[in-house]
Amino acid sequence: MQPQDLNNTKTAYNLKNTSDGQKYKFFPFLEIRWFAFAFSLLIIGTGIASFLLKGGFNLGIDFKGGVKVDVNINAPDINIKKVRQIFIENKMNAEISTVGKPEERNFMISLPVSSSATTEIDNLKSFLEKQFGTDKVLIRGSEVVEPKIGKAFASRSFQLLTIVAVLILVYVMFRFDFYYGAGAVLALLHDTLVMLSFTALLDIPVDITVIAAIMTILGYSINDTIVVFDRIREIASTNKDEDLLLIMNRSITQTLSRTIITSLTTFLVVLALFIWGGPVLHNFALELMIGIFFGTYSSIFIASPITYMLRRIFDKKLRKATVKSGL
Amino acid sequence: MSKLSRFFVLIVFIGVALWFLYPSIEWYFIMSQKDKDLLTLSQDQLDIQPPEIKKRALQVKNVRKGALSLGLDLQGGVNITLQINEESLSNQLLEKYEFDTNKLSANYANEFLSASDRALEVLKNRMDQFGVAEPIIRKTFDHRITIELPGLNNPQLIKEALSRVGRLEFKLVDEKSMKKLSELNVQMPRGYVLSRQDVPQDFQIPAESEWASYWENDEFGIPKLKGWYILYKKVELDGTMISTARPDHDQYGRNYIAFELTPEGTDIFAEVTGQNIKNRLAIVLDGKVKSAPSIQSEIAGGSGQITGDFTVEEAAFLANVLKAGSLPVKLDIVQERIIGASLGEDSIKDGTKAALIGAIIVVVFMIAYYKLSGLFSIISLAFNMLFLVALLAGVRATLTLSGIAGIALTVGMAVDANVIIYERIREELRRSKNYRHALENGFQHASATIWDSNITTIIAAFTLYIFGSGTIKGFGITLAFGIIANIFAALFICRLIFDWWLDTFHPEKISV
Repeated sequence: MQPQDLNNTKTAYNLKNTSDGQKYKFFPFLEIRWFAFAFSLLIIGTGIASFLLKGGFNLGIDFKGGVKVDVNINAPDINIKKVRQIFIENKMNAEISTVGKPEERNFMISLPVSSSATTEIDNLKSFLEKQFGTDKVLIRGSEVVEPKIGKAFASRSFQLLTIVAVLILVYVMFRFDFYYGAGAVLALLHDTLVMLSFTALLDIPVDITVIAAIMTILGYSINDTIVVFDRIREIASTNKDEDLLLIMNRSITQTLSRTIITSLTTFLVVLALFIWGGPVLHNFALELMIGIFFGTYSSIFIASPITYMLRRIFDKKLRKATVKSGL
Repeated sequence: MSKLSRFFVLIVFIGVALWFLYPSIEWYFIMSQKDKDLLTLSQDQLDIQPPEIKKRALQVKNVRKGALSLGLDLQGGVNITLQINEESLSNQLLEKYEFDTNKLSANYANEFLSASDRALEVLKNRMDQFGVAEPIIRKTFDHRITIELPGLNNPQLIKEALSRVGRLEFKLVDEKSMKKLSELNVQMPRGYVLSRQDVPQDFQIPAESEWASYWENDEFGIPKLKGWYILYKKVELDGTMISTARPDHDQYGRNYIAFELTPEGTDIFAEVTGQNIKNRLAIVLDGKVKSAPSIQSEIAGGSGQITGDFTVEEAAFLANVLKAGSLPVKLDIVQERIIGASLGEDSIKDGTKAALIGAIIVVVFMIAYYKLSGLFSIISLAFNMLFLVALLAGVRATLTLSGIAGIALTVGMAVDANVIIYERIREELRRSKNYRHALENGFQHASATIWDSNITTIIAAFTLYIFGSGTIKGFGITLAFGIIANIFAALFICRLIFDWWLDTFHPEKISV
């Protein structure tokens, strides 16, 4: 298979003369940047609106704290999978695990507290009795627990992300220049906001796995972005007089097959998790799928255009790409 | 580097990786359940076992320590609920309020809350210290403390770690009585009475003194009764006055324990040591003497050292004892439950299946798209995984769901490094038909890209590791190790395979 396949679709590609007299085929990524920005802002705007309308995220038990009920269900053929199924069917966000040996049919069911703990336990009991029969359910013990992750966690995560962003900015500034650093960091911010928007829109309960998914995507997306930047730097170092816009278009086009292949393989892994990974991994995989898609999208449509625009606004003399050459 | 020396380096790395992994392999695949069950024995149960079983128990313990552990979410564990022993707390408080019961009851609620806060903090701290992997410690709303600890196999070890939370006191050795004993020809070769059988029946110890047993850890790390001291009953200072303690060694390699005192402790300690130079001050944990160093000089500055003929382990143990002393409250274990994986066994089965399917898709894709080169990248990916897991086992990390996310990302990025290289080689091939040159240039250009893109990710990973805590820390370390293994696999192993293939088979071309 040849990677130039993409270049043969004549309709989508422009031919322009470049400074070194050769003709290159590329897609006008930067010319359509306003569509991309509008699209992203639309998603983020919808996310914020949904966040405000719903009064915040749907917090999972990790953040909220809740009741932990140790319950014996004395029904034949009952197992953890069936119990979990029942909670999912009734749209209840519960954490379920077995206590002791599986054949003893004791389960630990954790639910986030919405009203008071005692009503929550009573509700759970009557819910289980309705499902399995009155004499089949025995509450063996219960306790009300504080959140696994305290309130400080949110601000702590925010601090952490800020430190990460600053360090990445410094590194990219050192290896490229300030505009590239800003482009990379803004692309990361974009990815975080898009993922949070979908979290609010789709009512995904925020717990540790969501945080892990967001961090995973940040690592993934920055990698993607730098690969494109690297190519821009390489082309720029041999074509000093060429317009930055053309160089960027060429670079994104040239790295496109790599970007798509990598995203595709990773996406397929996560898709497998989504389809076959069972209910617990469902939200995690969903967040990752959103993240991989938009992480890839941002490395193509957000990072370079932002770099280009920042440079055009603040550095009018340097519209040509003069960047230190590679390693 | 020549191909031979590169190959040698690879062999050495594989050797080290397998060495790191061996305890995990032994624990999860080789060791019999009977051996694993040895860990559930308590110390006094183990004490009556024959020496070869004790020795085996110690070996099992070491294997378990070296093996990669799974987090609560993946393998379940023990759920322990602890409660403050209110009787001992109110006794303690009564002393504090100088037996003014009115004052006590007025302040009790607040004191109780602060005691439970302190207990929580100290327990959290202690969990790290005893090397229990990623525990979850939470207060319940009725002011109990629940601890969830991964691993079903060693509830006894955990309870031991919790019960070692004891009362630490410093008491002076009654040197006068000890001297009298030695005048009576009682055997005391190392400064303490070997057996109380030797002590004459009519020997009376003063009313202000008492017998205290002396325990030393034997080669299996199990406390053994070694002898007896006569100590003054008066507690000179207690563990809460110790702020820190750590093992250290001097320039001659002699081990000692350095400790620091709280401001309150500093004054008391200066006074006690000043008045009792050349006497011994015993360190007593839960009524058992752990050590009885003699006072060399007045210790006034708030910090001091305990020197002696310590092994590294002994010094570490004693430092731990000193630290354990600062827990002011007695905790009772009110409930102990063995719980399944918090993600549920069913979820883990599903997740494993899905991850395997995902991996197979990647393998099929890479081989279908890049043919032979794809196969090479899959081989280097396999090494990549070996090194990553070995590194994780080497630092005794705990595998949790978020850790596995880190590994999944690594697989994605490992393939990415190869995709960058191969796409580059394809580009080079369009310029020249010389495979060797294309390969050379491809690897060279791609490596700059791979370094840059991976260093940014490493920055993120290390920041999460250094500044994060708990789950985030675990994720950070997995990601960081993953990237290191990645770069090595893509730029070293994969390259080596290519060079070997070209030199051995002299192919006309390689399918990229």
